[in-house]
Amino acid sequence: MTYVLHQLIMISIYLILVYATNLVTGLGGLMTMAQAAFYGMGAYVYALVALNMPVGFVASCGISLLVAGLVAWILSKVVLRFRGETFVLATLAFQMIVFTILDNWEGVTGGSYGLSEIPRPSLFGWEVSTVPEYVLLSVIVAALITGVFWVMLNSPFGLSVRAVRDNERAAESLRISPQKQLSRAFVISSVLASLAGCLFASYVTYIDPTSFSLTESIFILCILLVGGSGNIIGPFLGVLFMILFPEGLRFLGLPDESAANLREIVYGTILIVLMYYRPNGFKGIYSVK
Amino acid sequence: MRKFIWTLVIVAVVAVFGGRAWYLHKQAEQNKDAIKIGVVVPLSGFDENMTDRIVTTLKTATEELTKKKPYKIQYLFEDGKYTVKDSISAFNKLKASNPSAYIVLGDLPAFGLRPLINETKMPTIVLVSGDSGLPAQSPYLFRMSLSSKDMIQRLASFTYNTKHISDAAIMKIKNNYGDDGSQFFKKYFADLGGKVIAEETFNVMDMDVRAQVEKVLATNPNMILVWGFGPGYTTTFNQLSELGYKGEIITDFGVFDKAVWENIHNKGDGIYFTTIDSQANKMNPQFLQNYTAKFGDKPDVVASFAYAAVEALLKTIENPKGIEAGLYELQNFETAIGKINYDKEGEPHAQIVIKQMQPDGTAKIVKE
Repeated sequence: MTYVLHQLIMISIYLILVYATNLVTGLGGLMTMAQAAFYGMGAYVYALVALNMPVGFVASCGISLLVAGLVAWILSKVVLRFRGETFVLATLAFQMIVFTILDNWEGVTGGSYGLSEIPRPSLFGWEVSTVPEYVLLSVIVAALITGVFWVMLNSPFGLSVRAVRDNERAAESLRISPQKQLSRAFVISSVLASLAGCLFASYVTYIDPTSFSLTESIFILCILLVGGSGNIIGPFLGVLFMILFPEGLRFLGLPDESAANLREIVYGTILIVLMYYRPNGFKGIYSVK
Repeated sequence: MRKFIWTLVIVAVVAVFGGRAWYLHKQAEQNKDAIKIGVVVPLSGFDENMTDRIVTTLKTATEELTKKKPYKIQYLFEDGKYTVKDSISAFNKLKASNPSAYIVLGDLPAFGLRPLINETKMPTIVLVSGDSGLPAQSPYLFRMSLSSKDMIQRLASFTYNTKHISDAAIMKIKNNYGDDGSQFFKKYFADLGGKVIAEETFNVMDMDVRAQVEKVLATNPNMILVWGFGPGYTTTFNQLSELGYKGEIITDFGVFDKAVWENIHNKGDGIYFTTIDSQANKMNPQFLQNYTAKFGDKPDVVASFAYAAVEALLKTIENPKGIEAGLYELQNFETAIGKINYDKEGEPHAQIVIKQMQPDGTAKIVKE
């Protein structure tokens, strides 16, 4: 049972991360490689605040989101000058910088040892200490974020971001400022990724830099590509597939000696087949190039 | 025709997996009363070769050592991929089978699993773990390996007192294992009167560390401590030799791994390393025969740790106070890696020796 509940928590966390990425990549058309950096930033700031200041879960999360938002706003001034591959490279560079800081700033982040004994959340007297309680918390947060994203999708903001994605010049002629709209999308996206980080850190109670590496950014992007970007259902399908499918392969009952490798081969093959037949993902309305 | 082929494929897939499920069901029925041990190891990736030896040792040694026992032990393996996220997943899946204890490979997964281990109060033996602070993190964590602290203390003393070298350099892996080793070496070496004159890092997957090696060699060290694992570790030995380093090298038992030795052949003889005095003659003869038939050589250090873990588990399973209390009670316990004595923090304090690699890939104990 705990195993199933654990998967539900991971689905909720990744759902937030993928919706966050969908905002910049699916709606904005910019492929960001810095999601794991904000995810990690959220986790570390939450952990540091929770470990050093007894201000409670909400305030620790609030500080974490604020820091991520501020960093994202400053970063957006630089990276949003670029488009296409250059934007990818700029965000990739930021991802590497954050990872290096997390890995090396031993006095603050614990370096490669990471941070342990991170407190579990306590919300208005509700001690979230058991796994079922954590499922409830993470599912509620993920549902809220899904709602927020759904509202955003067809709001004037969402439509203007999509307009910028489809034709920046045409959007400008309609008095939409591409820089301003993309910057907003980037900041919101980073704040949401940071929220996922807070949930992750408070759930596993131990974080280390390897959980927020470039591989994680690529994995988040893969979920979006497999599910399909630019809408609400694609990321959801992507998360279900990318989290549950490899876990489901654990139940194939393959021989111990070759099980893991066979699972990786099956997983990889199915991803290739999937991208061949559905290049826009399960339910994508926008193809990320 | 197309419909027929698809039907055939579906029937074949269902038949294969149905058959396998039936077989597993039968096997589960047979193992209904078995004592289950959950094992979280990286079953894929660059550690796979090491894991293969561990899996084989756990299974084969247990099979041979429990032949006359009134109970049966079943290992349940799950792939932790050496990440926190996947190790937690693997642990939670194993939890459903109600194991009596866990075996985990490596420091990082053990750190990530510590909250779950505390929550479930499950005795957990950590293999191939060097982080000095790990077992102290939980009363349920027990190491079956050598801690960096113990190994480094020995190497610092060997460098200064036996080899009479007072200036050394460090090439360490960029993770907590590397940091741990470097930190303790600097401390112990300085306490003895020695000085670390250069320190550089490499990443686990690095295939080119020439820049770091050049920087270290520019300081003319008489001894270099290479501390790490993975391809970056192997590359460091190769490129130290390639760039003309003729001085001494000290390291951990990773260099004695068959795969590592094959990759650094002709560049590794003379290297000193800390290890346990693995005593294959104390292992079950049938196990030795099966192991050698599969891998072509005697159990290496890692397999010896796994064997000792089996010995410790079998001893403690019979303890009426339970596995956890039983492990703490293991004092002067004879294993295939010599005597072990668990302290109150879960450190086994196995006997450490220093060996030197020989040109034929064997190693000889060095007198200190």
